Amino acid sequence: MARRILGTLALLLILTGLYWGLVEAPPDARQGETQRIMYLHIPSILVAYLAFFIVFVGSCLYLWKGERRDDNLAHSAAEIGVLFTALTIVEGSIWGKPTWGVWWTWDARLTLTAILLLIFSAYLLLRSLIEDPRRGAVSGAILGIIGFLDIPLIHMSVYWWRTLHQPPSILRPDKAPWDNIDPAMLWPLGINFLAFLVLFFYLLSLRIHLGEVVDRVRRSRLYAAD
Amino acid sequence: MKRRRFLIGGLVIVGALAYLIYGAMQNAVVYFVTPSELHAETGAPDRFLRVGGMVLPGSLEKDLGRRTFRFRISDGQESIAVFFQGVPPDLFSEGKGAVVEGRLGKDGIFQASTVMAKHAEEYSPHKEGEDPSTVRSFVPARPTGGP
Repeated sequence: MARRILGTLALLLILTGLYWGLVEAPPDARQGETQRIMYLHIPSILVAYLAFFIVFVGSCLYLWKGERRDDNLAHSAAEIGVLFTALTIVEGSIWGKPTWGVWWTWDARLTLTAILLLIFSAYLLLRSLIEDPRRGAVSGAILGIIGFLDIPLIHMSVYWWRTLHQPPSILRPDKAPWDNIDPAMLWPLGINFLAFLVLFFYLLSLRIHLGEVVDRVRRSRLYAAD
Repeated sequence: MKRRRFLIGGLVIVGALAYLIYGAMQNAVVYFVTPSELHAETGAPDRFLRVGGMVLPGSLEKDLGRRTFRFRISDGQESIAVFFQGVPPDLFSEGKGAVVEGRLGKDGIFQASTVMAKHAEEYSPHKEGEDPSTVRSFVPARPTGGP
């Protein structure tokens, strides 16, 4: 029931956010209508960061305590994180072509984001290949922790190296978001972020539930085999 | 005991990988060079390069019929002449950041195969009285009725 409410809320917020971002918000003075991709691009990557942070926490807890619950959390978050990272790259690519002039370029930020997608795709592959649940969980936890360490690199890449990608608009200590983004654009961005956040927790709770069902089936099969 | 071994092994792998990625990025991914750095090299380097900087105000000559663009990329100290034939991105304009890909010719003119525009992290609507249609007017609209 609670999950159904979360899902409905996500849907309503997404519809509100899309309408506000794509219709109500003004076009950007420099980029024109293309800039509206921001309303999806920034929320997508922030949610992906959150997902992999949860993978990191769940993996650390699993290595420490060895509880299946924490592994299920990490594995579930990783799947959704891969989805949102892929979305971010697709959206960024569509944004890049008209503004930068290219779909893709191998600058530090784009390259590290591609590495993030690769690491966690490898994570999902690893999880599906290793049959022994405990070994799969331990290997996954180690890879999950390593993968998460790519995120601070992605974030700092635009400061440390010369890149085509511009510095952050939101996640920075020296400037407030409203110094970079006009309030008329920041509000719809905030709504979209909230929408993506609720959608993420909805998907996460679904996926965790799925993991629990799989565990139950596996256990009952073991008893049946005895 | 076994778990601790895993943990220590994992940490070692994490450290090594982080160090490797950081090192590789520092050395290998010099995404673009500046005109000053390019001039500091002896002779014209005959290899694929990216040069980044600002499109020097007043330097842009465009022939929209032939779709050729001549301009200078500057880093504030030195600048380099660039020739490009094609369609530059919407945000390409004088006084703005750009990265060009291509080769430096024997004549000292950089033959760009790709022109990329940098954009700021700032977003705002049009100022009062500004015409929104001028924003994207750099690339001429296709004449109606023909390709």
